[in-house]
Amino acid sequence: MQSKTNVKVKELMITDVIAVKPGDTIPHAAKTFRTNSISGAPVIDDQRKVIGVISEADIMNLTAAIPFPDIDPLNPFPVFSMSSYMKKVKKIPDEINTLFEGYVKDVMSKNTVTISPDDSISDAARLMRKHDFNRLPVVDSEGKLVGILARGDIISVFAN
Amino acid sequence: MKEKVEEIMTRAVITVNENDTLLDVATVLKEGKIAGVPVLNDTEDIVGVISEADILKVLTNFHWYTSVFTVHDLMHIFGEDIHDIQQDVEKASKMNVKDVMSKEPEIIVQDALIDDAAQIMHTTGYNRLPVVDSDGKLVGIVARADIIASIYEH
Repeated sequence: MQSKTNVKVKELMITDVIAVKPGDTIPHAAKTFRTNSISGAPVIDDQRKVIGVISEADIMNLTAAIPFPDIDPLNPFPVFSMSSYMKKVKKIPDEINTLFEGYVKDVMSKNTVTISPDDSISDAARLMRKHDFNRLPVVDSEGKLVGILARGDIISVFAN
Repeated sequence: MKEKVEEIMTRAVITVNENDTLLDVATVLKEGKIAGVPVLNDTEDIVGVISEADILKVLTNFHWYTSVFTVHDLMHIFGEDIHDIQQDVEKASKMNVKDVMSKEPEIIVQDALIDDAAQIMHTTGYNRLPVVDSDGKLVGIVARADIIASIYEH
């Protein structure tokens, strides 16, 4: 019986990868995640080279970095939901509105942690654990996106 | 406009029991297409959360594991001892949830604000929070995806 840990990335990766572009808007990325039931995606340039990854956490952390005006100055916590914020202020400042309509390139992690199709899934698992990533873009020798391997794909080997 | 956790949470929560095996969990995650589940004891109290990250940690913690060689290299070096590695993987499949799960999970009450849920996720790094009623009983689960949907779909 072949050991399950001998499995290569190319045997488990999804080749039908959903990716976004740096110039896509954040709402577009959020909708893409929702529609496809994913929590993140690689960001690729016009040559299909991986230039970063954007995740739900990156989108949620948007609001944490910006000081919201007109909120009780004694409350240090950022506001995460537009609904709560809109209850507190009369008019949303333009810079807050554009925050939610910004571009993938401003929010993505510019990490270049990728893996090749011939690496083993234990290498992939080690990388995910080391960097606390949920997914690794799989690239060819030119750095072009050929697939994606997520934690769930590795775990599912043991569910068979 | 949605403001409270109960307005965005998933009510039909998939859970596992603390005495289930990792193999049971892997199956549940795969079939439900989810990344983590609350863990209950026999009296239906929430005793932890187990996620893909917890299972992955088990797989990368085996005694034969080093950062220099890949598993493939090690199996060539050890030759006849390959069955040890296979045995470890089989053993992992049979491990109990209670030995692997994150204990003392962050939970949130159903009438808390979405803001509060987001704040907890931001501070702790957790991706999902079990939601309880005022008696502490599990009534739902709220994940990052739900919060993002509430930002963009109001």
